Amino acid sequence: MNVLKALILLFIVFSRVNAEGVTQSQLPVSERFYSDRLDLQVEIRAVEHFMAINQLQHWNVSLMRLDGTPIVIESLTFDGGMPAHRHGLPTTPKVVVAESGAEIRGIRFSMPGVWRLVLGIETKDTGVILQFETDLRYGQAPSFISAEFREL
Amino acid sequence: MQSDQHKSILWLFTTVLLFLLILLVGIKEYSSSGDSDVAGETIWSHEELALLRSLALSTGNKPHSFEQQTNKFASSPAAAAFGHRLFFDTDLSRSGATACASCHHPDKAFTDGLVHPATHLQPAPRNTPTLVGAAHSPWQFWDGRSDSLWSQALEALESPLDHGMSRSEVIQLIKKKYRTDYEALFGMLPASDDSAAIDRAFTNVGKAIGAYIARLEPAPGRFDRYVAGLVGSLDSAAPVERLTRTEIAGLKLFISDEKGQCISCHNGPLFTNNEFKSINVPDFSGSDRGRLAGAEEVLRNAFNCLGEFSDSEEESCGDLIYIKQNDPELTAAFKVPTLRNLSFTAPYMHSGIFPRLADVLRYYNHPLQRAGDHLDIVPLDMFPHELEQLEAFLMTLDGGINVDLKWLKPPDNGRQQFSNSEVLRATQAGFQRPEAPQVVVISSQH
Repeated sequence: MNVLKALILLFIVFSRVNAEGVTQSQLPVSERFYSDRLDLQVEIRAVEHFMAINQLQHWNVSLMRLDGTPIVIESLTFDGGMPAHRHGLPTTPKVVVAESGAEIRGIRFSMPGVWRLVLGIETKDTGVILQFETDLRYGQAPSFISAEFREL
Repeated sequence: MQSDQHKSILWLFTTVLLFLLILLVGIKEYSSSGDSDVAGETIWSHEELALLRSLALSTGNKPHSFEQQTNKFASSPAAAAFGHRLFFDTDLSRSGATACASCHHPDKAFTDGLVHPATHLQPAPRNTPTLVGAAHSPWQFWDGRSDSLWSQALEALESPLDHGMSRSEVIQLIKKKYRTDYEALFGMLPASDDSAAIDRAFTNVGKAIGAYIARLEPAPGRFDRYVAGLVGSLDSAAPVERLTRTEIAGLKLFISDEKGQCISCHNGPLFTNNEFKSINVPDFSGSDRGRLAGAEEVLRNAFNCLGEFSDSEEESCGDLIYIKQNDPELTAAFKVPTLRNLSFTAPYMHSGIFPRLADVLRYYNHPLQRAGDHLDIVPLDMFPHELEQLEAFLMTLDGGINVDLKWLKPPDNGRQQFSNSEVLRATQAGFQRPEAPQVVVISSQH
């Protein structure tokens, strides 16, 4: 009977994988970028629609040491676009920095393809620019193809 | 002995089940790799299938209705019925000769077949856009200077180039002709000297018209049925739709990253990302600022999502709150139009400059490029046969309007400017192909 149960379970799991290859629950909701040299990591996270195409989304941005110690963000800038299509962001995202954390509101990716995004982060002691590129495709998890940290 | 027999039966049953499972996996893999055109040789990858699914109607895609965000009457059948009567009524104009339907003909997917309306005498007149599926756009007009169907209707009612009525005149007409319809929905009509209440009543008239237009949903075309068959969401009673080899080739070009790249802007079930793009399509003045001005105007518009007449909560107005403005990229940028029902919406582009779809595709092949201009497209550089394939694919998006025929006919009280024979050609399943529109042909070189 265990064999039968295993087969039924296998069948149920298989049938839940839809034609998009990735189920909604398998799509990520955050991404982290690390710098050994600067002893920093940056996390971007969205409650809904993280990196989804044509969905307005809001990100929480966290800055930490590599060991996870949080660093307070004092100011944040955000810009980006699609170099291959020679255009910038389709919206004007707004940045909110508070003691509880930093937020970028009103991000939208209007096209599939490679987006270059730039975050300028300032803390009490230092400043850093994180530039990364991500390739967005329908029904697939975003593919982060490059990331670079620069000191301000 | 009996136990051995049970074990044998169980193993036999398990083996059969395993065989069936393997068979099922095989069938699923085969169907997802997409053998589906007339020649039975089209292969679609999982990624391509995901893309096709995101484009199709009837595959679980339910486009968001922006009208419902700001118009609480958007789903009301009574409001839509009232709006339907207003839409076809020529009394709703200073001249007594102009209705909404004067420029938005049901048998042309609610366009007019003209380069631009004859009354639009401004330096850079624009082509009449379709209303079918317009509820799914966060922006109305080619420059997006309105952010709802109802506010778009209100501008047309007041514009001297369209209906040319004052707010008081509109309310006087409602009192005279539609008091019962109005008051059943919105309550008592205001006194003539109460301007704030007249503004509110005027808004309600727009919301009734918006509720009618919001009903004009595009019907699935051959493309949608084809994709439904591929992804297994087709009604079992429905026949499997096939696309021709040429149409499939056009679809491949349409979604290609390297070749067509059409999908970059024409995505989602309405085939638009609702953005504004500059592609240097000639207009009649060369001075149309497009979205650069439209973004300023929608922010000033008293009837926008954030205004006092909107039924929306502030947090639902994200498109307006985070609007892109004051950016050189928006200069002469215009709304990316839907590609559904293109057979019925000629001539094309914001200036109506191209009489045929083939002219549009030829322009994309070699767009006007001037030093210093921001251009959102690169030349397609396709062979003529590839342009024909693209056009063949685009025709598979024709599906007509997914609404009961009664909504496409003038209601009984409408003035008789629009005969039933004129609009009856529209059907739920699709239209007849209209005659080629009479347009002025202007070379794209000028």
